[in-house]
Amino acid sequence: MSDPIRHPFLKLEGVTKRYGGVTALANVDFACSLGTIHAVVGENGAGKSSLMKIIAGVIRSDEGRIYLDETLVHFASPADATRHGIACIFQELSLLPDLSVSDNISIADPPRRFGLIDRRRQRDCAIDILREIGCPDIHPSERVKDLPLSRQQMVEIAKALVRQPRLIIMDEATSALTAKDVEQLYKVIRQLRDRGLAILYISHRMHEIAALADICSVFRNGRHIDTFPMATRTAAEIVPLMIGRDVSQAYPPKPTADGTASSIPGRINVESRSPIPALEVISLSWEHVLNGISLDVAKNEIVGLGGLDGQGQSELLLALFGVLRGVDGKVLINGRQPSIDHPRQAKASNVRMALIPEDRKTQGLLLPMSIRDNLVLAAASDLSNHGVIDSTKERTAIDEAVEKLRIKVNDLDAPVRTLSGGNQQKVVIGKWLMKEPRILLLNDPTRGIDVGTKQELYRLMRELAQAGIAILFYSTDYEELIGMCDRVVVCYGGKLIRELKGADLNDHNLITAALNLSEEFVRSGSVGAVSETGGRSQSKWQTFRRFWRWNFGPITAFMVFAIMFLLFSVKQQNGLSVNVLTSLSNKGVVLALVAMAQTLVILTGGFDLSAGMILTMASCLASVVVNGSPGQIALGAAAVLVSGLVAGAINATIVVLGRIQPIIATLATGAIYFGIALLLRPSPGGEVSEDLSNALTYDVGGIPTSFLLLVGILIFVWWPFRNSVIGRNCYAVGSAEGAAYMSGLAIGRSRFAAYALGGLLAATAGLALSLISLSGEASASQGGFYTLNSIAAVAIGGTSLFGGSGGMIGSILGAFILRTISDLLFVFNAPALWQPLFQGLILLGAVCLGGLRVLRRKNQMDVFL
Amino acid sequence: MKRIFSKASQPIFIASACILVILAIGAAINPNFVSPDYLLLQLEVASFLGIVAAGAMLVILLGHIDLSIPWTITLGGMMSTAVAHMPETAGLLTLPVGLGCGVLVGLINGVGIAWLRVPSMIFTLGMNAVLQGLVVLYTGGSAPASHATKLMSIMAVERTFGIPNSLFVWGGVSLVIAFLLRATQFGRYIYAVGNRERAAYLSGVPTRLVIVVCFAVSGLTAALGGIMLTGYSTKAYQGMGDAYLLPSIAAIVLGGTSVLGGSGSYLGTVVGVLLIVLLQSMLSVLQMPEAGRQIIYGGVLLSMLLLYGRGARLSE
Repeated sequence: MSDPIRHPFLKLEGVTKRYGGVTALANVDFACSLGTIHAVVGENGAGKSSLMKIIAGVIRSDEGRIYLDETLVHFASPADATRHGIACIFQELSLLPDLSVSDNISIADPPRRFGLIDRRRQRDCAIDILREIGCPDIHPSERVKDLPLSRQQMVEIAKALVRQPRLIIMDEATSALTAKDVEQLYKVIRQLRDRGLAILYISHRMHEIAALADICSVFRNGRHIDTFPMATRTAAEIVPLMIGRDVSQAYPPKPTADGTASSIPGRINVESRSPIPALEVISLSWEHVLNGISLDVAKNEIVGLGGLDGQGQSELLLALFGVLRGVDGKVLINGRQPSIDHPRQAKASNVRMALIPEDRKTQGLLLPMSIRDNLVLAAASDLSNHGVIDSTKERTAIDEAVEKLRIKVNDLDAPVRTLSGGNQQKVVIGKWLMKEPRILLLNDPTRGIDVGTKQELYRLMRELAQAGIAILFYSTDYEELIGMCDRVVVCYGGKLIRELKGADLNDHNLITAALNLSEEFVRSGSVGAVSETGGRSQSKWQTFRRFWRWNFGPITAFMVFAIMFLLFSVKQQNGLSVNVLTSLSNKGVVLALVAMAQTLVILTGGFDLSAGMILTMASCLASVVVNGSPGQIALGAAAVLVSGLVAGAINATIVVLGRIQPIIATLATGAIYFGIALLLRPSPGGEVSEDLSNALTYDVGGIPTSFLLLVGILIFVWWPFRNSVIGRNCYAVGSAEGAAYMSGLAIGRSRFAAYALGGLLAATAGLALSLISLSGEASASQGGFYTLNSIAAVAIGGTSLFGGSGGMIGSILGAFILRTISDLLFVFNAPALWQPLFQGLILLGAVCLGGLRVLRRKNQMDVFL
Repeated sequence: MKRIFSKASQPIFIASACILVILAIGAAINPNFVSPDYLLLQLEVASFLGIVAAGAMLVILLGHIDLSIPWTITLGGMMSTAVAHMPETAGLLTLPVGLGCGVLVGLINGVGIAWLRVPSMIFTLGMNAVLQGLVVLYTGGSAPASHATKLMSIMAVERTFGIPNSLFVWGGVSLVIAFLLRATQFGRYIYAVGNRERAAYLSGVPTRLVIVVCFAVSGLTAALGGIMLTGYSTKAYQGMGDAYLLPSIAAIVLGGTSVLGGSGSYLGTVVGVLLIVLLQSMLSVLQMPEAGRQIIYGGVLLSMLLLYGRGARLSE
């Protein structure tokens, strides 16, 4: 066989990567050339993903060199790799959930016009690329988080293609796609290849690889085993290369039909098998993801859950464990039907169920906490007397678990984060074994674990089964299912479509069943939920719905304000004169400006608790410098604004470079700004130019000047900011910081801009306040009032306090709602005493409305972050 | 020994060193600054902040924040005095009603945050506004009695064997909170929820209950602080709690508790409270104008935070 790669576009030499004690890649040489589809196959943990992340600049190798077009390159970040023409489509999506489809597609390098993002061209570009990949049904203005997972994945693909890369990495890019999408994607991939791109295609699905790839590279245990043209070998020949070990040796022996396990003596207890299964599930259904699942697991038995990823296996385990709401069907434990609505009930003594969750880092462990604390978390109540920790009992239990699971540990008080992946997983398992479970649910427990630890876990599983535990075992690794399970049930589209055991339990049957070949399901796509978006024309109704979804917050705020305003004008005795409007506007303008400042910072996922103090400082400064000749006034006003800009920049520097939490950093700087305010104006008073004051507080042709000021800022500051690259990056950072980094955005710079501009607006508010009151006062309560109410106004205006979505118009409305309540109550002759209470209740009510949606969530995993 | 000098207790050492520096500076200016009488007076002042911070710390350990503290303090002071002066109660209900109000506020906060998942910052902010409205409504109409009762002044002003009684109260609260955090299952749950609520939930921790209880405790200590303050200043008044929110958060953070939740020790909070109170006191001994005090106060807070952050990054 000649070398299949003659002119490599990408070449890696001697690449090594270690994570703690585990070597993910060992001295790997690898190359791929333009105009080919290059498949990379291997087991879980073979090092494929690490290799791709190194190529994409996400992680850096410990050793080795990367050549691109025969020049040595170093990728410091994903942005760096992108610049070199490398695009990635990862399993974990790198999309920004709060941004639109078209924003996401061209996030890295949007089309620009006069320095601002050209939305129309961006939209056209999105439409083109979506059509090209066969998804004209995705509307470019749709918010990404409103799309089903399969559509999101196609957007991810579009996002990679739009950069016109020369090398595309697809890491399990088809995992969430429907059958129709997959076909379309194949077509696109072949077109790209014919255009001369290099495509690195990673997949666990051999049939995909057989259909697509020109070249195939096999990885095993972090080593590059072989590379060959796909045509030269069949799938059956490739699989042994991937496994490369004697499967039978890796797994402990299964008990034979007569109930004796051949080589593990002393624990044979199978004759006590009772006719009632430990766990019996009868037609379980949930939200179109589980569609009538029935199965049982006996004591001493390991039942595997097979099938492709995302066919409802995880949801089944979560449903059994009490995490999902609205589950139909019955679950019997030893013939009885306990109610399990919370993991607490699942671990109670009448059930004794344990779940080893999918993602040990975010669901199984508290990474910064000690190994000791992690181990005792589930069994805490058994290890304490009336809620007080019994340290003797606890120590015994911990020592027992460490010994039993052979957790390699020097210091039990070290954070669990410091352990290797395998030992971490042992901690998760150890935590649950302390509860002495009767039923053990395992969700892909060996993912990302080294081979040695895997084998230990296999032995442990078998021992546990022989000790009488019923085990339900989901794994994405087919070999593992075959090696470990007494029976395997295969999931497809939320149903169990086949049960395999004995001699039937083999590679071939498992894969055919997983793909559900020859059955009617193939046509209906992968998961039921997908169909909802199918075949639609862009009707007016949908356009409206989309508009509603985007602008829900501001529209609600507007309607509330409109109703208040109407009530106000009906009751107003002399009608709505210009004077009344002007006074309303003047009353709201200061809070509106601070709220605008706060909006910018909150959009990036921060808080500015110094906003009110910047305002106070600026108004005190204004009461000192904004007077005298027109020239002096102009200079003074400019100085006030600059002071705010500087204050905002200081906040930004501390938050971005000092990496201090925004809440606490701005709390501290707020004290400093207030101190400066006191220096400037130790007692209330001062002199502010009356001419300038009149200019702000009267009207121009019947329209209040202060209102015009707000509109002016919206048009000349907010609109350009929103449409600038940096402004959109602010949304991106607030929406998902990790994804923003993966997309190569300048995170620090965006934050800096938001805080600095926020400071400027807060100072504008201070200037306005001093012009309205014609004096300055360094009052801490006034500063606090504006800070807290600005956050309230932002929340009422529909901006998410977690960042990423919202805008200034809503915040202005929120500010006016808060400020108009008192006038409204006044014209309705409500006693003045009631006003503060009403203000508070309206604020509280507004924020609770958003919370009601949480109560409808069906998956508690979405509720607990 | 190793545990004492671990990374987690580094902030406590820095803060303690800072306290010593403040004492040294204070002594250099005015030797009376380190006299036992003066220090005892400082501890008495610190006890009010300390009591409020004790409950607030539980909420911060969860990764939440309680901005309703100012008006919970006021509510506690107001309601307890109002009940105390009703002839038919004979003063028996003073503490139960005052503290009960605080717990009730905390329970509502907890329910809104744990079940409706409203960000704690905005929910407690709204709650603060509602409380303010209630107090204004209540005091504006009928001007209820607001002067401190005998019990309150016993708790807050009087001394036993020369030691202010408020210190005993603070000590009692501290023992309970420290015991809760270190020795109980519930304390573990608090840290677990603060670290990652999802993982705690999947381990069968009743995370919602944990949140509700912590907010209730925060309300309770705020109300207790309000009652003590009423005793100290002989009457309850509107806005009496305003000066306690930000210093309590600053004290907790200076003591090494992460505002993101999940880590921090109660000892740190005590040290943080002492640091804040002594800093304020030193600045007043220096006869520093208010402006300078604020600037130094913010500057110290910032530089200590930067110091902590640097330490943490170097050790990574």
